Amino acid sequence: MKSKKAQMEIMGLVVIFILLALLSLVFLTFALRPKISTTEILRTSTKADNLLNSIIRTTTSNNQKMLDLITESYINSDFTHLKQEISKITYKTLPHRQYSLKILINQENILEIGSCKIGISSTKTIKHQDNLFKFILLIC
Amino acid sequence: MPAQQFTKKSQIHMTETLAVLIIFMILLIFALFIYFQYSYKSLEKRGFEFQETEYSTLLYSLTDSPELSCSKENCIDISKIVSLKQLNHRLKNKEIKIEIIYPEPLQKRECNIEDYSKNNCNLWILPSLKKTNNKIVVNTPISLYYPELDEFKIGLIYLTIYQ
Repeated sequence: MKSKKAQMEIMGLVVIFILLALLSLVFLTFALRPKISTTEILRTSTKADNLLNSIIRTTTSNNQKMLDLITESYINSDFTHLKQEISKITYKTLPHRQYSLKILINQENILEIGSCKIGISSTKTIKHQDNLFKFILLIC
Repeated sequence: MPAQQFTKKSQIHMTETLAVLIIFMILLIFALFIYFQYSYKSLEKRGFEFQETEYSTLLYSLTDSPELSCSKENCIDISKIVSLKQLNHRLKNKEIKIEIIYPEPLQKRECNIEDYSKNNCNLWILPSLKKTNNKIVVNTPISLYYPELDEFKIGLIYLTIYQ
């Protein structure tokens, strides 16, 4: 009789422990899930917009407009200088952040820098010298 | 069963119940303490986030303010910064710093009025009247327009709020 009562009490204790363990697991799952705050999204989105805007407008170190440098690189099929110039800009404006910049001329993908696949994007389309330029900047 | 044995058994039961209650209370107080600590930290974090959002919005609106914006969309007119510097304009508890990053300037130092349109400095600073150690800094890349050269450079604009 006493042994049965003790067994029942142990069973009750085990049930309580299981319930507690389950509750802790649920709590930890929610608590440890990485949270992306709206502030961070807003900031990254504005950063992407401003940066893309700045890249498109800038005059390069050779006193050449960026859009002219892109056109020249496209005509000569040599993007080394363009890549270097863009890297100089992103090195200082996006330190320690992954990004990808895609440039299309008349729907043709001419250049892709960086390896970011999913992130906050900014897109701009500009007409320059009868060519339609499309820029897509993605910040991870 | 004698009455004395009953009393002893009930005393043991009472002690047991009391011990369980004490342990339960300690656990409850401990749990509540942890919960409030967590809530307080989370509130503090949210407060800081709200402040940062407020200052970020202020920073983004700077590029649209007539005192700094250029004739084109979303850029800063450096000649206006020069004018503000000439007036020795000081902000109450905010500092605006513009760092020219591309094309890379030849020297890294604060720009003066004479340096306008030259490539020999990298910092334009509109200082604050008040300076404390407790501050929040927000920044964003920005297009810098030089109207006399009709050129754009790339910079980082920093807004420091002293509290």
